Amino acid sequence: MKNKSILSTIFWISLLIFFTWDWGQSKPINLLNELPALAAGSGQKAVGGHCSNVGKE
Amino acid sequence: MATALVAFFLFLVWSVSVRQALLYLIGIGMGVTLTSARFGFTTGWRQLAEQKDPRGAIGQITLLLIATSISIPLLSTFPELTAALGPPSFSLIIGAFIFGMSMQIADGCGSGTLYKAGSGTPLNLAILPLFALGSFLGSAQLNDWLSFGQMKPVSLVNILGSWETIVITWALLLSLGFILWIWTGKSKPLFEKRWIYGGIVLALLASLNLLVAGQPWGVVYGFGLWAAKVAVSTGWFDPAANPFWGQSGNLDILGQSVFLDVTSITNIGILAGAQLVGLRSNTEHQSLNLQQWVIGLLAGFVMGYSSRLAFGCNIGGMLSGISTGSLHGWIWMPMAFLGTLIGIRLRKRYAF
Repeated sequence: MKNKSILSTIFWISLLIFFTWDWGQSKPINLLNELPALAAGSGQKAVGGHCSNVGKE
Repeated sequence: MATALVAFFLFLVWSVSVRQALLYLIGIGMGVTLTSARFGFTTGWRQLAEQKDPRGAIGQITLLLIATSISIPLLSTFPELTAALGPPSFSLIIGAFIFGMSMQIADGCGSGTLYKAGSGTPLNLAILPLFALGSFLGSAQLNDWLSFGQMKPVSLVNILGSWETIVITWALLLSLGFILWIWTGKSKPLFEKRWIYGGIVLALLASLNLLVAGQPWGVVYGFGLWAAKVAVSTGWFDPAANPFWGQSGNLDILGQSVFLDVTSITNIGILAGAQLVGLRSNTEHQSLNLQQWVIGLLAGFVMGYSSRLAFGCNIGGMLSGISTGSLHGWIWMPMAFLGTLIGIRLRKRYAF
């Protein structure tokens, strides 16, 4: 139980460090370009990455 | 814990976008449902193959039936929404087979690894970074695998029409349920409350994900992205020279915060939701010896790699593929099940 707790703590701290590092080194978010809350009905095609994405053919 | 979840939600609304904050909430709902219903694709398939217990598989069929019935009409109504269309290919066949095999050894598929890691299962906690590394390497080498042979993605909706695709999908899934009922001996219970509740709620959340994000639920892209970001920052990977990561869309996503990535944000939500439920339970986990740890971690890495070859795990490939009318989902399912039959034997061999 103790090992589980230690491993879980290491996991969450590592994740937190990664997100903080990523936030610092990524392009700042331009809130003026924010996408509509719902994609459906927005008229803008989804641009996110997905597992079914294929590389260049 | 609840305070941290609310604080992160407010941070997303304030500093990222309302859409990403909504997706985070959907992810939390997914994590809570997966954990509280113990909705594991891996376990469901193992119980079916080992004990002829169809309850988990029937829960998954319920999930697919409802998700299809909502997703395809949504895709027809809103042209800006996209389906999970992966190409039928050699890469898909081999990837799904190996994924099905390795998920049994790692005792968790894509969503299973996430919710088990979130709820504190030691092996899955340790597997997650290797899953991410495998997913990144798989995506980086995807083009090489595709060169062995591929077709263009096949959308059943485009070929047959929306309602026809729903009717055919229902017919295939109900036939599968009927075959399971006959094969398992008719006397075994087909339904269990937790599996049915899990299937229904997950189908509703997956449909909400499509409505909000504009694309179906996925898991592995986000992990590959996290590992790719680390690889790029260390300087040993040049994304511009890679056929997958060099695509303009993927290059843009690499440069942005992971909080803007759809798949990453639902993954974070699932981890958080699972942690919320996991904190309230005192589940004891099987302790593993060194050999089991090594094999389990290796299986996690292979699972990540193969999930990219298969255009998704059980979620992005099977659930999202089938429920949005992509032929590749129907290839994914039997190939992964065949792999599972081998994986179960390997699992026994190493006494998991």
